[in-house]
Formats: sequence, C-alpha cells, structure tokens
Amino acid sequence: MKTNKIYFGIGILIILLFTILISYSNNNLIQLYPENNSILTDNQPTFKWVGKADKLIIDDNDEFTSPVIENVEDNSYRINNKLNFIKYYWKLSGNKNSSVWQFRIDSVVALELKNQSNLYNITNVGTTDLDVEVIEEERSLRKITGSFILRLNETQQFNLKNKTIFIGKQR
Amino acid sequence: MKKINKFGAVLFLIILGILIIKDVNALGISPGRTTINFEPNLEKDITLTVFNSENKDFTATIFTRGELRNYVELEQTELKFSSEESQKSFNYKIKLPEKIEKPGSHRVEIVVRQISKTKEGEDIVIGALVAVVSQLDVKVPFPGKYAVAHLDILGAKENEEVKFFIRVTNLGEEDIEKAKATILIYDSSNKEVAKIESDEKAIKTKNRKELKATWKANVLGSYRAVALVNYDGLLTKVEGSFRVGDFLLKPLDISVKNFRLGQIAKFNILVENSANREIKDAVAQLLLFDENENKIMDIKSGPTEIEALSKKELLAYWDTEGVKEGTYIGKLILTYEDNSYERQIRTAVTENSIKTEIIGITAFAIAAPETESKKVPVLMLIMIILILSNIAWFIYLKNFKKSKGETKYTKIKKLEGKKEVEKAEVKLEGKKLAEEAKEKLDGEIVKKELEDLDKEKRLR
Repeated sequence: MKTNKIYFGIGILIILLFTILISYSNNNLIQLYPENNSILTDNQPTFKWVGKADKLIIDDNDEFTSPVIENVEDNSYRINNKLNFIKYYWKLSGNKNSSVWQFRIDSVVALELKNQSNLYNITNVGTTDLDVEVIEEERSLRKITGSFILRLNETQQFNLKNKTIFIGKQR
Repeated sequence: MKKINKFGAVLFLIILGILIIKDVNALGISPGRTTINFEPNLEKDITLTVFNSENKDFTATIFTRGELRNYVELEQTELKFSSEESQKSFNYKIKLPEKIEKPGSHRVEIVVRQISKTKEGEDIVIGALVAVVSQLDVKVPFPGKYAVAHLDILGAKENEEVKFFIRVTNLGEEDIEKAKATILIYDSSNKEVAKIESDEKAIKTKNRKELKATWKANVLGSYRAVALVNYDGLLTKVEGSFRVGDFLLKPLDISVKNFRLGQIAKFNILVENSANREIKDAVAQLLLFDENENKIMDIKSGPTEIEALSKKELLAYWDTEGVKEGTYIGKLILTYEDNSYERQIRTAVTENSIKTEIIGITAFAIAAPETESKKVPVLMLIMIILILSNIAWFIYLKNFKKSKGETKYTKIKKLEGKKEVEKAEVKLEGKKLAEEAKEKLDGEIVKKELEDLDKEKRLR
C-alpha cells in the first residue's frame, strides 16, 4: 500500500513539472533573428522568434523612448519601413517581455555601369543614396569634371568621350 | 502572319539589345560609412566587404584619401576577384594621433576602384570604370560641455497627443548631468499657444539620450515647435513643424438596423467631414476577425463625395449566413483621395442585433486577455487529462497486481502459505495415522480383553 502511494506521488510530480514546462514555453519569448550584436546590410530585415508575441518593439535607443511598435501574430515579421544605417535595439512583448537584443545595419554603396556603344548607363544598385564624382582622364591627367546625386535604383546616362571613372559614396 | 512578324521583331530587338550591350560592370562596398569617437592614440581594425555582384574576373585597387589618410594602414592595396567570388573582405587599421586640434567630424575615405591592367602591369582605364567609397568619420569631442539636439515630432489628430522626441548628443569632453527641453508651440499666426517641458536626463560624453514631451492638440491646424535644450546651464535650440488633424474624416457611429442573423446586414457608417472643402471618394471598410484571427467580414462602402463640414452615412452590406453569435474584434478603415485612417472596432452579433462600437487604439489591449483566457482552458484541460490518466494508471496498477502481479512480496506470501498448507497436511496425516493407530490399538485391547474373558470363563 505504501509503494502505491509513492507511485501516485511521482505521477502528480510529473504532471506538475509538465504543466510548468508548458506554461514556461508558452510565456517565454526566444528571439532568433536579427541575432544579438549582428551586422546586417538588409535595411528591411525580417524579425524571427519562438513563442507567442503580441508586439515587436524596435528603437534606436536602449531606453525605448520613441519605439516603432508593430502588432505581430506569427513568429516572424518583415518591417514595413526601411531602417536607417545605425544601431537598433529590439524586443518582443506578449505575456512576458523578451530580452533586449541589438543589431547594426550597414549601408551598401554599389554602382553598376552598362555601356551601349558610346552611351554609359550608371545605376545606384546599393542601399543608400549616393554622391557620384566624375573623374575624366585625358592624356594621363585625371581631373574631377563633375558630380551628381544618384538616388536609390536611379540610372543616369552619359555620352563619354574620354576615359572616365565614376566614384560613388554615401550621401 | 502578323503574330509571326511581331514575334520576329521582338526577337530581333532582343538580339540587337544583347549585341549592343557590350559590358556590365558592378562594384559594391559595405559599410558605406563608419563612425568612431576620437580617443588619443586609438588603434582600431575595421573590416570592409567588397561585392562582385556581376561575378566577373577583375582586379580592384584600394587607396585612401581625405585629411586623416595618413593615419590609416591598409592590410592590402589590391583585391583580385574571380568570377566565382561574389564578395571579399579586407581590413584596415586606423591609428589615431595623441590629439586632433579641431573638434567635430574628420573624414577619411577608403576607395576601391576597378582597374584594367596592361601586360606590363600598368594601370589603365578603358572607357569608363566604377569606384566605391567607404567613409570613416572620426568625431573629435568639443572642449568642456557641448551638445547638439535633433527634434522629431509625431503629429496627431484632434484631441490626441502630439509627441516630441528630442535627441541630444553629448559631443563635449565632459559628462552632462542634467539635460531638459522646454518646447514652445506657435500656431500659424506665430502666437505662442503652449509651453511644455520634457523629462530630464544625464548624458555621458560621446553618448546620446532622447528627451520626451507630449502635448494634447485641441485645435486643427499647422504649428511650429521650438525646443530649447538646457544642459547644465548651456542652451541649444532646435525647431520643427507639425500638423494637427491631417485626416479630415471623422468616424461618428456604426449602426445596423432591422437585423436577423443569417440575413444581409446593412451597416450605416456615419462620418463627418471636418474640412471646409468637399471630400472626394470617401470609402469605409469594415473588417471583423474571429477568435482564431480568421477574417469573417471584409466589406466596403462605395466611393462617396462628402460636402464641406457635413455628415454622411456610408453604407456597406454583410451576408451573415453561417455567422455565429458572438463578439468580434476588427477595424474600420476610412479612406479618401490618398489618405487613410483606421480605428479598432468591437462588434457584438446576436440573433436579432448587431452592435458595433469604435474602441480606438485600446482594442489590442482589450483583445489580448481573450488570447490569455483561451490559453488557460487548454492548460486546465491538459492538467485534468494528466490527473485522470494518473488515477487510471494507479487503479490499473492496483488491479493488475491483484490479478497477475507476482512481486517478491506476494511470492514470499505464497511460499509461506504453501508451508502452512504442508504443515497442515502433515498435521492432518499425523492425526489420521494416530486415529488409525488408536483404532488399531483399541481393537487389539478389545480383542485382548475378549480373550481374557474367554480364559476366565474356561477356568471357571
């Protein structure tokens, strides 16, 4: 009879542990992406996590005084607005708050040059607006002959006579 | 025939295009900009990634330019890409001097440029090439206390709170103990209409903090805000402008009359045009979701003109066939021209009525406990199942032991029982033998006595 009582007690203990485990997994929010202290080049990242979250909170200061708050339903969310090239802090809220993670977004400065006979098309294929310097070379003499602003995905066309270098840099 | 001709023309253009496009060059670098704070004799390694997005074989040269170029050491001055390499990283080291006299931002540029080389190794440029720059900004602190501020304003609708965020960056050599902003709000006639204060914060050198203030806007219109940031007795000023009540349509009421569940419900969405001009293409959209976030209603009114400063009912229809009684959360989206505005709604559907209330931004908070309450029964159910299964298991175990179970204990008991039986059997056999012996003995005695009696009789 005494042995039976022990078995019954163990059973109850297992139930309690199971309940605590379920409750813990339901309440706990585990962030997955962007990883803590990571560096991204995508300025519209998809946030991923495990657990039930109601809100995704992002801010560029760790006090979250002016956060962007997104209502979330699933376990991932792609931010609608493009983020700046700075450090961000993010957390989730649900029945419990997640920890605060941070990541940095780095810009990509990229130019694409296509030539069709004498015409050259230069396109901003990076993630930020650019200032583009135009340097022409004539008889081994290089000089800056102009500059222009090239917005994201914008293309400008040039009819070049001399050898030319286009230098793109973040605005 | 015409189709074939068209197809031929398109094909010709494509081939022509391919022939005309001689070359595509692409080059990228990340990060485009890195910022560090000046520290005397600071040495720091910075990694840059160069992208070969066209997957071409090429060589790029790396060089520096700008006022701090002499403080940069490049790990390599050339990068060779094969067509299989889409990106490559390289490091450079910045070795800052003991002091930079001029406070503020100082820049150095790391340039990566495509090159075409002759057989002799001479760098030549044919036609046009691209180069990309990664900038390094070194921020030298200002002597003493020095801060700069930036003002962000989140405009609001009428009777809602306008939010002011003042980002204050301490660019000075010293920590700021107290930073606080006073915000003066001016209307379109430049009359001061409000004066509010932000919270107060300490800001360490090279750090940034955000001060926050709110103002409840009662009157529609354009405003100008001037934020005076006081940090340890010093002042910096920053300005911004905002509008109150950009959205001109105001939702007043949502009602459904003469309703029967299963039939078509006619929603009357009463809105008011608060502008002194006619609004074109005003549309109301109503959405409702069930407890599992499934959309159960998505209806729209037709586009309507609303006269200046007037109210109008927008009509939308919902077929309620298959809809169950209950309370649902959803939203009302009002749109006109290119403007859109949404409010949360809660709708109670019964057998013969639909009542909808506009509950504003609190809807999410109201909806949240429902998900919580949903979770509790699930947990309870699991617990009950587990407890019941535990009891069932306990009972089963008990019965099993009774019927089949042979534990050590029962074995011992069984053995003991056997011995008892054996003993009893031995006892029983002994008794029988004794009785038999007794019977035998008794018989012999009787026999002897009878013989003795016979002898006596003969003697007499």
